[in-house]
Amino acid sequence: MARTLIRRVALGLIAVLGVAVLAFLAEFVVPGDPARAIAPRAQSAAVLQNIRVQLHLNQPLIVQFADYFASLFHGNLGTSYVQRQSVASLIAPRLVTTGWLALAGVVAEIILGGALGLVATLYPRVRAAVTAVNLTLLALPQFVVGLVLLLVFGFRLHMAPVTGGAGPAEIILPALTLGLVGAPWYAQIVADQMADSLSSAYVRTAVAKGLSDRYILRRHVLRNVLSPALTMIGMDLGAYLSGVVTVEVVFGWPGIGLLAVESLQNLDRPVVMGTVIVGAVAVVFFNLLADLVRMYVDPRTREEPA
Amino acid sequence: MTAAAAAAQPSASALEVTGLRVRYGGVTAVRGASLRVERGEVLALIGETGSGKSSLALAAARLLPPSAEVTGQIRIAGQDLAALPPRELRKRRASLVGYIAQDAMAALNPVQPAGRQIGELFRVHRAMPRAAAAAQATAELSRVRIDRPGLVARRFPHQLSGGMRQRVMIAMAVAMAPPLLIADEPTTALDVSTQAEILALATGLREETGAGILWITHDMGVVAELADSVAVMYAGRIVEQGPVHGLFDHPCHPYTEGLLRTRRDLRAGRPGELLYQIEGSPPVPTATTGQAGCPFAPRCPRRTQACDEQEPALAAVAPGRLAACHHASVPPAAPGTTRRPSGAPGPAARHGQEATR
Amino acid sequence: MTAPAPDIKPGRAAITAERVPVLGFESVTKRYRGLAAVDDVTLALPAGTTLGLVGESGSGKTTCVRLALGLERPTAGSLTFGGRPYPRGRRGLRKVRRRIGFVLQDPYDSLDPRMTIGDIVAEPLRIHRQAGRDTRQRVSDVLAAVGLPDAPLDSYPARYSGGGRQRIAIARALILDPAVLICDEPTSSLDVSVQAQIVNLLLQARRSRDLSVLFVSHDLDLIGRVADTLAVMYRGRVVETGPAELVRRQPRHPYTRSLHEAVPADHPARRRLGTAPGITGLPEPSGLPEPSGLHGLAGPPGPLPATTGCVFAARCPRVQARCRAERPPIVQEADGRSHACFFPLTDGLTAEPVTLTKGESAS
Repeated sequence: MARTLIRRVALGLIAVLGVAVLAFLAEFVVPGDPARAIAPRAQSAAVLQNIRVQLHLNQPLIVQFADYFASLFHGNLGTSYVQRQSVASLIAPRLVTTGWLALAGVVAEIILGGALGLVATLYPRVRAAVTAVNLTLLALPQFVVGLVLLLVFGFRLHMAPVTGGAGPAEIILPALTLGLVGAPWYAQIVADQMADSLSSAYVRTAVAKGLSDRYILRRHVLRNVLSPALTMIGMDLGAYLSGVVTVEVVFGWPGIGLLAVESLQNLDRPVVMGTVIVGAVAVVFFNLLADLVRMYVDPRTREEPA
Repeated sequence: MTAAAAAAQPSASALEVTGLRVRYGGVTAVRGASLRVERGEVLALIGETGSGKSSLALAAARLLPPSAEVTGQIRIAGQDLAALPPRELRKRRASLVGYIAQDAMAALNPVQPAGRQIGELFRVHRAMPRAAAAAQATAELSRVRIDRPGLVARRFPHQLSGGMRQRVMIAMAVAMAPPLLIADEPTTALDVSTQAEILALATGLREETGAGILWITHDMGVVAELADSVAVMYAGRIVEQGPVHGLFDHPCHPYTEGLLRTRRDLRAGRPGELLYQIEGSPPVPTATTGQAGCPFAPRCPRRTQACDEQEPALAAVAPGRLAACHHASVPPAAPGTTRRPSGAPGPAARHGQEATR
Repeated sequence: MTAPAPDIKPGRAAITAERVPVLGFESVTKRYRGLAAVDDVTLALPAGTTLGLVGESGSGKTTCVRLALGLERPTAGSLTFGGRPYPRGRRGLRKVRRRIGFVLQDPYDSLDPRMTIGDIVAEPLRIHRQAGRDTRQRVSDVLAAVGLPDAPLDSYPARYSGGGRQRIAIARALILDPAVLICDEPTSSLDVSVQAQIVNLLLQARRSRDLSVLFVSHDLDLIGRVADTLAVMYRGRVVETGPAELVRRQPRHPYTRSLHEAVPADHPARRRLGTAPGITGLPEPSGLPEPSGLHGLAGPPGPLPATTGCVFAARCPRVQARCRAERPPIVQEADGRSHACFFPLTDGLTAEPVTLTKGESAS
């Protein structure tokens, strides 16, 4: 088992590095002059050139690349072009804010999706209706759901706050948005795994042993549902923590996603790179964590198959 | 034997099936089967794909999904399980019938250690505390002749060999000392050496527990090693039934004869010689529903027109010997009894057709 | 030393003339993650004969099939075809594969359910670029030869029973008119009443096409009817070889005998399985000392980590101290028999056996 883990961690680090390299190179394809973004009202070319020299933007790509990654390996994410602050200090609070949203979103989608899946399994007659609901939710883009919720509950019914902010009241709608959009995935997993389990030979054995339905669900079926669900949770947490951009933009939620969008508009490269790297690390980390928990729950996944 | 099992008529057969019909998925898997397994005896039910043997076993153990239609009577130790309210059924079923599945890997919970799965029976049904249940589970494992039961009890099913898993299944089935065991091809997926061990174990257990065993198989060798009596199934019905020695010496039904002859020829023939073969393939269940005539007719060396028109009923051909065939062979009578002439009062004669051979 | 290697594409006549085994394993070892699935195995399939490979799960027989088909490459040792070692490159390997047909165990897995049976049987022609105008005719001919003369070429495998599918698989194996046919448990998944049909089909095909056959099975009775020579495998090693009848009736190796004794009786009056002691049955040796004196029982499947001594020592009823310390070398007897045991069963042993120089041996 240790060998498996070490391999995963190594692969994860390589993945993060790869993402960083790609992002860095992508920056240079994006049109726009950061110098001009910093000083939009500057008139003379000399001023702009001065800025460029200060930020080392006049150096060849290779040198900038080497500089950036050298300081990266020392744990330094650089300084924002626009804000005169270290990138790390900019990102940290935003990361926490997104963290709350991510958590709330995952909780929402588990509850909604789990409920849908359970209903579909235990009440076969409404299964078609549940499938229709799932498909609808899957087809809807995040921003549409978000905007509709905002419109209905925020502006029309005045049930939820509509201005940006990061408090407990403000988290409801964006979390609900994430929950609705993500629910079908969990519904699918729950329904599939339960159907599989309930028709499986070992559940039949449990019935033969005279165990009650509820006991069987609890002791024998649930664990097998957990395994793939945990994988999905890991993926979701990682994905959300790397910035649920659309939802944050719609609701003005001051998280890392919103920061990334703003920095892109400002051509604030270091911050953009910082968000990308933090996002990649989050994805790798949470996937790994999910794997660990899954190994605990399902002993079959502890060894790689021979 | 547990009090529950004894309370339900101590003199009753371990299993009594009457007129069983099983239908699910649009297919009639069992079309009217009756058999009886006495306590302390092994009845081997032999058949190939489409014979309905597994469906019969599952029906007898009451393990078919609720969507299955099951008609006919099933009594275990005199008790009709269908008559019990669900809660009673749940409480008593493990002490009435132990079911041993074919694929132990699929039939055991993959995320629970073996010992805990056996211990569960004691915790739930006898309200034993965890430690006592664990100890009892380990004792059950050594009863199925596992040398290091403590070690095995801690392992997960995927960490055990096939034979070991099968022993765990057996231990679980006998743990509550039921009067009836139903084994559904437990050795089919095992190596021949492992199969030999399990058969030996089964023989031993039959003596120790006094339970009646319904053993499903497709292998005549297993029947020879284990059975006291035999029922042969084909296309959803029992086509022959009788004590094992008589059946092997003088099979009545041509299908039984074909199976035995195939096996004997395999062992005794010379290398390079062609084997004796039964023509054709076993019928798929959908094909036989609603068709007239004997389902074995297309493959049968004794086929006549009568066989295509009328499906033969299962009838006594000799004392203790049943066969469903218009041209059943009659085994030689024991000295001192009159021999029933061949072809006379069988269903063929009743319908005014001549029985030809 | 073997005879000088014949031409690149040995015709069947060339092989027979040179007396070179059409298929050979020479000290082949195959390791997966350090465990040897096949350990120092030497086999020879003389032209026109049938070699039976007998073993249970974990014996390595399936790995041998995969090696013979070129699906795996040996970790050590080499495979030969017509006396020449298997080529390394894909093109060379293809030339060898053109001469080998194979039939595998599961008739439900080995046919692509999305292809028509005409396409399935014709596929080898396409792969080896022999498709042409006569393809349809060749497919019909070979299907007729396997007992499916009226099968529509555009039908799908789902329409056929297990026996029918296996016939289609055999047709596919034979369409290129191979020199060698490899069968890996071709009847184990079939109903008993159908098994004989398929075996008879193989026997007839072998005779009419003069095939050399490698037949793998766990069924000692069946393989006795089909094979000329037998090789018995246990945990990756060959423990005994020889003419089929002799190996079955007078086995030299205790494992072979235990295998024979494990086969169920053919009549209730001759029951013999009785009671057997328990085993640990863990998939891999746990490092604890194995109880000895287990009469006639094979151990848990799977390759062992490199151990000293005989692979069967832990389960052998005749085991002695020497068996645990040294690996028994392959001992050659007269009349083509060999065994790897320090204390072989000696019923019918006529002459003094001669030790080959393979393996570690004190003698």
